[in-house]
Amino acid sequence: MWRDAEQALTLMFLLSWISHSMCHSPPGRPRITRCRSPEKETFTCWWEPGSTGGLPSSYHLYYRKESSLEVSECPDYHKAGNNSCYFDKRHTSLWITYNITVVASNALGEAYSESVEVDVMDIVQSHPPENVNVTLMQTTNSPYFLVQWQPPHDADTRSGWVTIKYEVRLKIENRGHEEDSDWESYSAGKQLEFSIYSPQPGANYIVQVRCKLDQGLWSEWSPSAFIKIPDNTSDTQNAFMIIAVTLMVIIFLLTAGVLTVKMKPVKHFLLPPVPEPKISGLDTRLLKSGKSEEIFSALITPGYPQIAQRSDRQVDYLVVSDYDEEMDFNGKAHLECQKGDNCLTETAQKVSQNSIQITLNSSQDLSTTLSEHVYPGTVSNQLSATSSVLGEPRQLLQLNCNGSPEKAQDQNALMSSGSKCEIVSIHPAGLMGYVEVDEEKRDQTPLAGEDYSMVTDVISDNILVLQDSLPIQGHKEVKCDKTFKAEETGGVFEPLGYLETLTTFLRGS
Amino acid sequence: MKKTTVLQVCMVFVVCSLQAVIGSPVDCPDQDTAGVSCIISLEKLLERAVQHAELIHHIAEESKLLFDEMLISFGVVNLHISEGTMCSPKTVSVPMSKTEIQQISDKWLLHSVLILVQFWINPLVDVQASLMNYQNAPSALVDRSKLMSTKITSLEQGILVLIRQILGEGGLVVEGPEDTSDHFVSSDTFETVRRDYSVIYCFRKDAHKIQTLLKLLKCRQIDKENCSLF
Repeated sequence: MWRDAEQALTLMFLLSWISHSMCHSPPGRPRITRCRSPEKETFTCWWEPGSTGGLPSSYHLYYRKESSLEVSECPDYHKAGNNSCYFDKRHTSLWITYNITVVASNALGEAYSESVEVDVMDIVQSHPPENVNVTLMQTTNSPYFLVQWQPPHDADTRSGWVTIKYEVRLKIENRGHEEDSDWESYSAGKQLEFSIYSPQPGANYIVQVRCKLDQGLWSEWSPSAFIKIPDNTSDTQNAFMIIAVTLMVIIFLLTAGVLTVKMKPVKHFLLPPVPEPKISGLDTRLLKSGKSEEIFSALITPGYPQIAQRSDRQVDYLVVSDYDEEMDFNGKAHLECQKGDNCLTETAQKVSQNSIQITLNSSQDLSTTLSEHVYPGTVSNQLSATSSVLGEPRQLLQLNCNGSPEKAQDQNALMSSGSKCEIVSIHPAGLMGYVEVDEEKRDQTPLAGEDYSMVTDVISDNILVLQDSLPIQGHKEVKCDKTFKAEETGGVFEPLGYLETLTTFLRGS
Repeated sequence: MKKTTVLQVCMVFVVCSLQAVIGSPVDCPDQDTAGVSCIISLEKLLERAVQHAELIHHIAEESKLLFDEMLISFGVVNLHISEGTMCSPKTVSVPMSKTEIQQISDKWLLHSVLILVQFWINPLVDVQASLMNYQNAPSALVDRSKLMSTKITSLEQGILVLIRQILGEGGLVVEGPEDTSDHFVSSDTFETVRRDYSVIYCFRKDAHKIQTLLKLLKCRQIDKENCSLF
């Protein structure tokens, strides 16, 4: 059995070898690859042969025009190279379809390619433009380079047979490791030159041009043209830059050195110190610490005339009030006159004619401490909230200006604005109490409206006339007559800085 | 689709600019009578005619492409055009190659152009009407067919004016367009589609022909020295 298999195998090998070397076959089918017309006057078709079948084979191209039945053979097999057929001007007709077939034949047979219908109008693809050159034009400020070219030599633009459109593309060549940049394309219309503005200095440009006839296909890109843009200007510019930068650095270092060495005199020279206010006996550093008690204890020294021993003085309460039946008030605030009788008499006179009623409604639960700090000529209250507020403090400052205009004018001290306004404030009931401005007791109820913008006048050195009142809560009626300022009626409450602590929680209630 | 809309916009601009331009030669009174007011130079007339022909050819190219797309969407793969029956008018032989064209005179050039233009007026109108009946013809195609039939009519008028100017009044005996095209009425949709496609296909070729002839004519008339002829 093995012998049979061997014999069969060797027989098969022999046969195949024989057939391979000696057996011929008809040729394979050729194939028409493409047809092109470079100038719309002639055209060429190329084909690719199939298998030769082992025998020398010849190729023939036959064509038939659309309108006739006659079959003709290719007029020129050689002009365009191997496996090609060139139709010259006499044999080229436009706007009709050619039916083209290639036949391969050898001794054993023939093979027909597939037929191809060709209309010359559709296969127009011209040759690329010629003589592309680039020149650099050095105008003063804006250098540019000019690309020029010639149309392909066989295109007949002169008679208007074809119209050519061009396209230019360029890119910067990066020698070395970087990748080349992308091509930038520009349409150049029908002209034969093109300008590229603002080229990069120092760059190498590659320029190519291609063209298109009428509505045909774009040609191949022309051979590249190269141009190098000089960068002479940048060198000198760089040198200048470097010198300037080094000079600046040196100057900077010098000034820094001078400054460090002679800090204080220079600083005094440039920024003369502002004289600070000096209060004898007051150490300003205490203010920085922020503890108000210390500050005021420091301020309240035996040197101050205003703060006298309580025991030496006659403390009078000054009740400044005028009861208006319309008003609804629940309490009064009293200004304390610490000076003696003077203020009382003065104010008493004024009471009858004009009135300032200051009503305070404050909760005794307030652990807000009031400390009075008296400046010369003024009575002031300073508030500092040292702990949270309990209850609902309500504060009502009522300003009742009842006086007639002429009286009001007499009472300059009281109402400088001469208003006849009443601010009637209705406030909910609450704990009321007199305001005792007592130095020793720190838990003073706040003077209502500790707002120095409401101070209209200072009577003596310890009476402060407040003009406005603002309820924190409650309903407020304003009957305003004349020249009452807006801030009096508008309810604008402008606390001073150090009163904000009070006002914030008063407001918040 | 964006590309087509951009093209459409461009087309509208070109058409609008051309419409303002082409209208006037028709309204221009005869040169015998008034003579003063309306004189358009030959150069301008030829230029307008060439622009017109280029536009028509461009639209025809696009119409063919659109029609091909439409056929593909319909599922028709290969619509074989019957060989040249519709594609060239049989009355007058139109020159086919550059050598032939360069040998004929201006008179024959104009004559050929006029015949071509007049031949296509009616088929284009028919195609436009027929396209409206399609179920889902792309609107771009319908618009272009309308545009083509409008423009070909105005081109015909322009050519008549040109003939009057170049060849004089009695230069050419102009016959009206012969009604040789049998009005193709068929209930078979496939045949209708086939006919419409062949109209557009052949008109595209002839539009190119018209454009080429007019360009040559323009070169001859205006730049007699440079244009290589005869």
